[in-house]
Amino acid sequence: MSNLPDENEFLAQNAALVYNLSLRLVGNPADAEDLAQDALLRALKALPGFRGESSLSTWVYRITVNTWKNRVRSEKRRGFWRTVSLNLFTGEEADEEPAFKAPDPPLDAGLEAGERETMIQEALAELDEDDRAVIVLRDIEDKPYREIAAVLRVPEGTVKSRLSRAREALRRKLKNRLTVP
Amino acid sequence: MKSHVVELLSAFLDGELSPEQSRSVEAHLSGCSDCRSRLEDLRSLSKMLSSLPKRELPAGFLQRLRARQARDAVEGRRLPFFAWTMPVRAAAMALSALVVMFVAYEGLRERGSAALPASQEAADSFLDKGGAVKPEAKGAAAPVAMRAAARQGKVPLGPKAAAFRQKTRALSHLASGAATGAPSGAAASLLGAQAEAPTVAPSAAPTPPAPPALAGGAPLGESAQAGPRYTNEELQAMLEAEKKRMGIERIVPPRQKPFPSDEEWIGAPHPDRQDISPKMAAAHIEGDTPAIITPTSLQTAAAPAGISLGPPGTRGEGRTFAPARQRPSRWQPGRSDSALDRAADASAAPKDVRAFGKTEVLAARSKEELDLVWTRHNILLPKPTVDFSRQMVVLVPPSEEDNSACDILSTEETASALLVRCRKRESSYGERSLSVSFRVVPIKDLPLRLETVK
Repeated sequence: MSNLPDENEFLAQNAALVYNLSLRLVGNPADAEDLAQDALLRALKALPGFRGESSLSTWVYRITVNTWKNRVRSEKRRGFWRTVSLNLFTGEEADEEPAFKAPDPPLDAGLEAGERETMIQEALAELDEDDRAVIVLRDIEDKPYREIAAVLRVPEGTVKSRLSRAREALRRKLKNRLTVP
Repeated sequence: MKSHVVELLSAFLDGELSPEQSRSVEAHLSGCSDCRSRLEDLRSLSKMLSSLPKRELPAGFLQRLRARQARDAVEGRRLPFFAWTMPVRAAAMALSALVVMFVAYEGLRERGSAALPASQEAADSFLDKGGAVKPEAKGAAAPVAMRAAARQGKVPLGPKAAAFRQKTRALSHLASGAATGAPSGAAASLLGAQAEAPTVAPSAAPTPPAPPALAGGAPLGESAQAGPRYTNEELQAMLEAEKKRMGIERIVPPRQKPFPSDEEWIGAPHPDRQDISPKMAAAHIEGDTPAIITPTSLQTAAAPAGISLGPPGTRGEGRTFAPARQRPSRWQPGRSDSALDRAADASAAPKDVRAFGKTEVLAARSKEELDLVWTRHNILLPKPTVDFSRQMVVLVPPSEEDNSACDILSTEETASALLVRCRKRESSYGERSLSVSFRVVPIKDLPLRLETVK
């Protein structure tokens, strides 16, 4: 297809996207780089054969999520489970002032930005892969249900129920870390 | 209807319901505060997630990617992670075929002859000074000794034997090559022809897979490490990545905050208390919800978390602590420490204490006030991190009278007061020191007001 981006263009448009998605899926920068590079290499290889049945970005997301799932499965087979639990997200951003007018202040009021990020990432890591994937795609990558369904190759109804369940699980985990239930 | 709506709240938040469904959810929400508060929880969760910063590509990412791409081109074919086991499985099968051949060869040769040790002496006994095989050596036993001699370089190998030796040498090289790559080690795993055997991480594999050596074209006898050459820096980087990947395991328990120091444990109940159920003690072992500590639960809880419990009385960095039995038992049911009470009732009482029925809400605006509240109410939990220059802690401790707890649902600023809403919850006497609900909020110089809801 003549309107496919060339490799450099493709990377310029998608590398950061893939890296950030990988980062939220695996939880630490080192593994994220590995995963992102794996996914990008696969995508580059398959790019000439891309026929446009889905949008390019959906296709890229799908490759990334699949590469991640394969990696997770093979790690489980190896019999050990790695979680890096260091505070790797010491951010330089200033703390957000929680919106005080809201009926419920944000769960994370009072934490440093880096702490917050680590805490969220840890809670995410405790979800299982399917739940984690839908939450990351919805709340972090901001994809509509239809696109999430296309990326994960499941019906929209599944996305809906899975997301509801995953959010509830995540909410409970974060609440445990912050306040007395 | 309500349970049905609860499931839809998530989709409602995302605007993914049909117009009719949306309308019916809205109608329900106007009359159901439970669902409203759930929705707010979902909203704040979503907001928190979307506030995670987007990171930039790490420096050098694209260069490393390009380098990998180039290496894959040199190697001929870079296989996707999950498919690369194929050629290795093929290699493993070829290897096992070789081993079978080797063993059969040995077996055939040794049949009918005394098993001779492949030793120096045995070899020498078949060779005369000139290195030629003694005439009497010819016979059934000869081949074994000849091989022994050949191994020591004394007898030139015939073409067949030479080829065979090269193959077996390749075998051992491959075995050692696989061993360095696979932590589980050894040709055994490779010959086991399992997919997991080559556990070298695919993305950083300094040792190229076996096929090149077996393909027959590559020079046998060379180390299986032969392959694309890497620069020192690349090797360093790959080594570091591999080390990091191999070395990091789950060692930190989910619990984020350090265990309380001795002072904070002062409120621990006397170990002889009868009214603590095993269930409550067990609840502590889960790790997230500190409960009443008994000496036994202390032992079990500490160990899995990776915290070393030294001999009683030892302490280090606040992470080891003596079992409760060793501690002077200062806690008396129903009474907090009299010395502290006096201090509390005197000048340093927290401001904004306002009783509402049987429950009160407090605000701690300084570290001293926070410490005071913690000690006064025997709170076992670690204190939150607070920047008192712009934040304060709003607390609802358990009621003095009936020990019921009240969980803070929300805080709201009105014109005249800071309104705190909480929901009452019964709690048994034993859980008293858990039942404080608190929120860290921005500092506001308003009087507090508490509203309890069902």
